[in-house]
Amino acid sequence: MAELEVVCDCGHRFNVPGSLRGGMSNCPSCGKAADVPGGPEKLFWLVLGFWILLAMVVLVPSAGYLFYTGHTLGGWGVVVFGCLLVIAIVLSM
Amino acid sequence: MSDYIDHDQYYIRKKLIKVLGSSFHIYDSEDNLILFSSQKAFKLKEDIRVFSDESMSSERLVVKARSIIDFGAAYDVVDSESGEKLGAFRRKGLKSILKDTWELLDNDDNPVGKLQEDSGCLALVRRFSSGLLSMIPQSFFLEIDGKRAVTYSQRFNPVIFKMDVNLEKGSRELLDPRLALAGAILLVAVEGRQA
Repeated sequence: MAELEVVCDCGHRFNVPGSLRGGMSNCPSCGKAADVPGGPEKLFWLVLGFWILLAMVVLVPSAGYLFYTGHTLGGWGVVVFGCLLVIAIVLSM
Repeated sequence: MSDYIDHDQYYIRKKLIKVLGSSFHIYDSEDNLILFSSQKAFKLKEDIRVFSDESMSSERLVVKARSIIDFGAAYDVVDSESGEKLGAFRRKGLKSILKDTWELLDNDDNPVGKLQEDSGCLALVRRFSSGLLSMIPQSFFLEIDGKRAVTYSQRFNPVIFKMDVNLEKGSRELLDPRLALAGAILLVAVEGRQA
């Protein structure tokens, strides 16, 4: 895994193994732990964002259709949205 | 270095009934409170702050997750007083499905030890049974170079979660006792939540 550059609060720059992404590493100059940039958060937000987008794409037209036709099936929309949200959370764990 | 690590025996008491979040107390062998931690609920990224007492004025240790995703996550352990990173624990996600397993990592992320549940059979019984059998207390061992350094034993108590932490003789030569306590904190905070 490629090395990452870390900038400590004391101003010293040093490289750490890529496996420390999102974690902490001791600065060779001052000895204190410095934050290593990065982390897999992007993947988490990407998956969550995808599922929320999908939920909106499914729900908004269906809610509009139900409202327009006067159907009283709005409760199903809540159920579908809830299911999609649960799936999103489970997939993101 | 703090005096809270001068002991060889500790026990952790976790409040089971708390509306939001969780908290636990760590006592020495003479029942003196030496560490306290309280976690907020709904935090995306685990960041456990451990204080010397309930006033939470003096921070001792920080155990911080590297990622939001909990499966196979690594947790860095930092001494708050010196600001120095002591090491890290990485949860072995797949192995932990059947038997809770963690790796102890040095500052460069090289594995130096293994923290795992006592017995594979008991681990399976705890996971796939119901009623009294699922309440069989868990025990964990932290091994460095194949030598047992720390034993974590949960006491049988369905109402209050209590865990004993015993540093074996000579374990201080193998690992920093603050890491032994950090392992216990992770078992209580992370494994306890999953249970």
